Amino acid sequence: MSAITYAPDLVEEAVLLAERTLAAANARTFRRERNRVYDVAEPDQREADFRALHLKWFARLGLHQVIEQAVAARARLLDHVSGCRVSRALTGREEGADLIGPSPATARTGEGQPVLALRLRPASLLAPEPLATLLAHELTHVADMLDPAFKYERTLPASDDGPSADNILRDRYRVLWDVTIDGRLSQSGVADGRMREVRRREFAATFAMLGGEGPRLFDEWFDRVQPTHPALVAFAQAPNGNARTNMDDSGRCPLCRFPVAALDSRPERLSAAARAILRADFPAWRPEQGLCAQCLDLYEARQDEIVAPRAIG
Amino acid sequence: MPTVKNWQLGRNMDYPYDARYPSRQFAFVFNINRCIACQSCTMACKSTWTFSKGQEHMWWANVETKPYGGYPQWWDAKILAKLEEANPDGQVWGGKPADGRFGPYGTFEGQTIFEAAQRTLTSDSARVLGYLPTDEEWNSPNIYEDNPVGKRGVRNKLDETGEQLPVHNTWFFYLARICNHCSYPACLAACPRKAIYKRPEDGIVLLDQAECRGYRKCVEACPYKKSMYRGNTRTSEKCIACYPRVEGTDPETGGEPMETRCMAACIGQIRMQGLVQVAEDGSWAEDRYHPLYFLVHVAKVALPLYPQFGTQPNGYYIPPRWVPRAYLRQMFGPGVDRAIENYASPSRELLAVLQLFRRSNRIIYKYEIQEGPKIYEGSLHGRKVELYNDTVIAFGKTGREIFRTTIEEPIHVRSNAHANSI
Amino acid sequence: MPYDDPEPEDPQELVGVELPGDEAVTREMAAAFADEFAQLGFTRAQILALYREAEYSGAHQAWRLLGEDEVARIVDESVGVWGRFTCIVTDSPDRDGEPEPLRFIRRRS
Repeated sequence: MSAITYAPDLVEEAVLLAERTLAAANARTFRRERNRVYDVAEPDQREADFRALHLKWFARLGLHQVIEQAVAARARLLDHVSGCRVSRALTGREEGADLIGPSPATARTGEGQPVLALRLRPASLLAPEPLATLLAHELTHVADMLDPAFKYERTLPASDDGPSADNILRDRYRVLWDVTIDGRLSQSGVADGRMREVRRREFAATFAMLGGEGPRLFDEWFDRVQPTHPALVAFAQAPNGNARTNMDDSGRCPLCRFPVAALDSRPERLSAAARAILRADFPAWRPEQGLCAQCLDLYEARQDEIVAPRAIG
Repeated sequence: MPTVKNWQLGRNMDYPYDARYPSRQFAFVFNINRCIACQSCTMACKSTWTFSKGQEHMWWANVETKPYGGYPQWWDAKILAKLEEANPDGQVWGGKPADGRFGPYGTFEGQTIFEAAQRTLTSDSARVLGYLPTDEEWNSPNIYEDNPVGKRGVRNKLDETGEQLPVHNTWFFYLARICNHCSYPACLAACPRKAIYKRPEDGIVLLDQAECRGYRKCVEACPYKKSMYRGNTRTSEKCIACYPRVEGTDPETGGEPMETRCMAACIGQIRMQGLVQVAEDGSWAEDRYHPLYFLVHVAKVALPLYPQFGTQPNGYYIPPRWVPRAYLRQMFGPGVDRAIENYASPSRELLAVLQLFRRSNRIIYKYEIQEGPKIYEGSLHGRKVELYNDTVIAFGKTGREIFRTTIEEPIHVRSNAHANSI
Repeated sequence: MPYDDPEPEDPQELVGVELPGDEAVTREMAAAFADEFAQLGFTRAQILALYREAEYSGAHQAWRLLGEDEVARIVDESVGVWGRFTCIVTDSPDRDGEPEPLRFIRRRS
């Protein structure tokens, strides 16, 4: 693999943020060198000079070190990518690692290799410990994608229930994959002990339909040594063990039958009047079955419709 | 550090430079009661000054939804928190409002961003307490209004109906903002290159692009976050108060000073901008029939935005009368109660001056009222109201009349086609 | 260290806080909108339409809390005062060519 390349805007911003941590004399030297570039009249030359200057200080300040170490620690991964590019993320949610270009499957067979793309916020480069944790997690995603035993597929099975069901499946898959990754990192001592609790909360929120079985199933996934993509997909599609290929009933509103991420757990919020209207439409419905937020809104609004004209008189 | 007089705080304060005042000062009044966040001002500014490459994140003029919104995100909450941290429980007002133009809101007993910096910052170059917003905070001009977040645990997807937001229970309002062209600019104080200057003729604060070397100290220092860094030129930029218009060099007015683009574009008619006379001590010189002087110092309905920061900002706001007072006092100081009382029960002269808003794009230097007969007397929302058919005349820089307003009862003309209709 | 979704308890990651108001605040907000829009020349029907429109959240919230009757009463009160009159703006003779602002009558002298 060729060397890691860094996007100029990431490099520059990281250096500018790191400037405030420099000793006064160093900071003066940096500014003296940088101010001189403003006087270069030719725009392309000036831009090139700025980039060179910032890259020099980027290296001098060691802002690349955590990334280099994290990538070097995945030596086998490097055999399957043609390069590694690090670019600037604007938000924390954008941070991560991915493979771009040819699919991981072809990379495994050696027919053209993808590029390892890392997106990081400039400020993240100034915090070595959290950055190392983040990279360990993200590079495990990439390692899984490249591992033949994981059987990764870029696209998840499409649902007959439309895009909202696809979104729910993707979210469940993401949460589950994160759980297995941090489980493995915890076992190898890379992730700290608090990660189990963070992932447990996320799992509980996403798989609320599991009820009392949730904690046991979470432990099973967190401690799993060799998860596979098909196993993750199967569980995300049917968390309760339902064999149907599409969304199982636990993810549907009992009233409108639309797939939802979570049912409203507070059907008691419905007023007696709204509940009466609901019961007229769905005599068999019981509050403990729950309902989706949209249905809850609908029946509240229907109740308003009856009340409002009376108020207007 | 030199000492300067801050009339808004009713006391002297520390500032890195000696006081020097312009002969006139760019100032404006926004009537928040009227703002509907149409963003016409925002787009007028954007399409005039910040449409180029590298300026994508810049909104020199913006309108944010309070209490949730902010551009950059949390700008005011963050600097207020820093001041509170520097001076716990000490950011309070005391004293009595003065009758004159110095200290009309009492005395601020807490610390300004300049004073707090001396106690909390050690670096020689850190003259102002501030912070550098992140990319993420600059990313959305009115986050939570235009970008409701997604559901917990759902990544990269907005909640389509916004139900993640709590219901806006009973109140919120729109805060329109531009650079305040402060009398004691924090950006100017912080610049290590002295690239920022205040013009002696109109007090407009400008940033010399040839001198700027992108230290971003101004971005960090401005408590209102109205100085912004441009990545491709590696310089900071800020609102220039449309100075060619204010100078009268826009051909439209034939040499007469003209209000800025954001003012002229305001369809809600909430804005008035002018140039007020400045006294030797930096307070406003008496100019009884200047509309801004009247609103700020006579009617006392328009208040500075976060005066406690200490920069003596020149943007004034008629506070929204429905918003809980504690929130407004934090934002506009202790003058809020009187301002709302005076606005809710407007005097005859205030009603007349409010008629001057957005009737012309020319800057008004003086008004005159020719009293007319009383045309209505009654009550409105439990308060007494009297209306007069007064004629209000606005004058420009040269003393020539710009326009006049009168009041007329509507006349319904019966149409020929429908002779019996009204 | 958590590095993905923010902690719900983190005050810097607030989704929105609810700042309480009461009926008096709601009534004052409704009255303020009615007064301002009546002064801008809106008619009773136009102002009431604005309250009924859910997109205009502030006014609509007041309408939901106070009810149509009460809002209509407030609007009637505002229009009863401000709607009686029209503001006439007369430009001085050299003002030809200046664009005309909205919502009020302008005469050339």
